[in-house]
Amino acid sequence: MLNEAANRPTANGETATMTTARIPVEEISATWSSLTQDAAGLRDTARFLHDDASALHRETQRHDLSARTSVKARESAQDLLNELAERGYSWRTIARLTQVSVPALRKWRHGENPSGENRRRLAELVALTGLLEEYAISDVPGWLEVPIAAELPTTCADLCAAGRFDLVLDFASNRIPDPHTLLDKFDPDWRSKISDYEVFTAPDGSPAIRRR
Amino acid sequence: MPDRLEAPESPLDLYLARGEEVNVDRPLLQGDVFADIEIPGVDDGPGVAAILTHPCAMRRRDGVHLAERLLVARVEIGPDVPPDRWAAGHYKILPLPDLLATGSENYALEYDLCGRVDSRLLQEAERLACLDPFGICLLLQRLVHHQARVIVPTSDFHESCAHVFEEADLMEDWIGSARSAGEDVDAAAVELHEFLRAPRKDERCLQDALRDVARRAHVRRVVHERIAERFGVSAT
Repeated sequence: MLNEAANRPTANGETATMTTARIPVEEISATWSSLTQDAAGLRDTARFLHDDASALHRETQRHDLSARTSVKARESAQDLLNELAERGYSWRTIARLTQVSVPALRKWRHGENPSGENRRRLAELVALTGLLEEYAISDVPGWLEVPIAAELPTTCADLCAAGRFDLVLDFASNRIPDPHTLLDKFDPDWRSKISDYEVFTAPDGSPAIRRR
Repeated sequence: MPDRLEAPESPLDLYLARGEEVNVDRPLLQGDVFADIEIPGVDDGPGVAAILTHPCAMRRRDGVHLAERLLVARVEIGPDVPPDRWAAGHYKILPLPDLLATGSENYALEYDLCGRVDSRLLQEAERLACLDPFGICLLLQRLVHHQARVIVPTSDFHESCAHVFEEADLMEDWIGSARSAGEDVDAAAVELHEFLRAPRKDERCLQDALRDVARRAHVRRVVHERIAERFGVSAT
C-alpha cells in the first residue's frame, strides 16, 4: 500500500516528498518511480479483479436465468404465450426471440404442443422479462423495441436475438451506462452502418424518407 | 453508410407465411402473393402475382377498405440467387426462393411486369404467401434501386412503415377473435379502426400512438384487453 500520510502536507505546507528536496535528485525520482510502480500494480490488480468479478457475475446471471427458465418451463406453451402477449409483445418479436415462425406460434396458441426445446425458449423469454422487470423496467417489450442509440436502428431485441442476454442485462442494470459502449461491445463496426437517410413526417402527415 | 443491396440470411427470413400457413384473417398487404391473377398491360394470361402498392397507399381514407385498384407485379419461375449474389445483379427482380415451400422451385417478382388490378379480384384469389416485414422492405429497397439507382437501407423503410405492419398484426388478431366468436368479420374490421382512431383521455389515439416505437407495446396491450372484453376470448 502507498503511505498516504507521507504524502499529506505538513503544518508548514511541505509534504514529506518536499522535505526530501534536499536529498539528491536521483533518490526523488526513485521514490516517484516506486510509487508509480505501486499505483500501476494496484490498477492492474483492480482491473483483473473487475474482469474476474464481471465474468463471475455473467456466469451467475446465466445460471439465474436458467433456473428461472426451468421454473417457467413447467407452464404450458399457451400460458407462456398469454403471459408474453399480456405484457405487450408482438407475435413477430416472440417468434424472432424464440427462433420459430409466426405460424408456428399460432399453432401453439391453438393448442398444438411445441417441442421441449421450443417451450424452453418461450420460458426463457418470460424469465428474461421477469429479470428485466426487477431492474425497474416497467414496459419490457417496449424497452426492447426502442433503438439503443438515435443513430442506428439496433435494439436490445436484436441483441437478444443474437443471444447476447448478458449485454442486455448489463445495460438494464446500468453496468453498461452508455448506449455507444453497448453498441461497441455488440458490434465494434456499428458506426459504418449509420444510414444517410432519415424518416420524417411529410406534409400529408405520413412518414417519408429523406437524406439527412 | 450501407451501400449494398441487402439480402435475407435464409429464405425463411423473407416470408411471414407460405401455403397453408397463410392466415385468411390477415389483411392484404404489399408483397402478398396470389394465384391466377391476370394483369392488364402484361397480357400473359392468369398467373402468380404480388402486390406492389406501398403499404401506406393500399387503403381508402376509411383505412379499412382497399383502394379500387392495386399495383400488382407478375411472379414467375426465377433463377437461384444465393444471398451473396443479391447485391451484385438481378436488379429487375425480387428473388423469391422456395416461394411455395416445396423445397424446389425458385420464383422471382418482375418489377417491370406490372399493372393495376381490381382489388376485389385479389380479395377473392388464393393467397399463396405473405412477405415478412423484412421481405417487404427488401421488395421496396430493390424497387427503388431498380427505378432510381438509389440504395436506401431496409431499416429506413421499416421505420417508415412499421406502424402499418403493427396495425395489420392487430387486425389479424381482432378479426380472428371476431370469427371465433361468430361475428361478421367486415363489421369487426371497421370496429377495430374506429377503436384505434377514437380520441382517448390523456393520450393521443391508438393509431397515432402506433407511430411511436416506444408506445407500440402499450397499444398491443390495450387492443388485446379490448379483444378479451369484446369477444370473450383472448387474442392468443
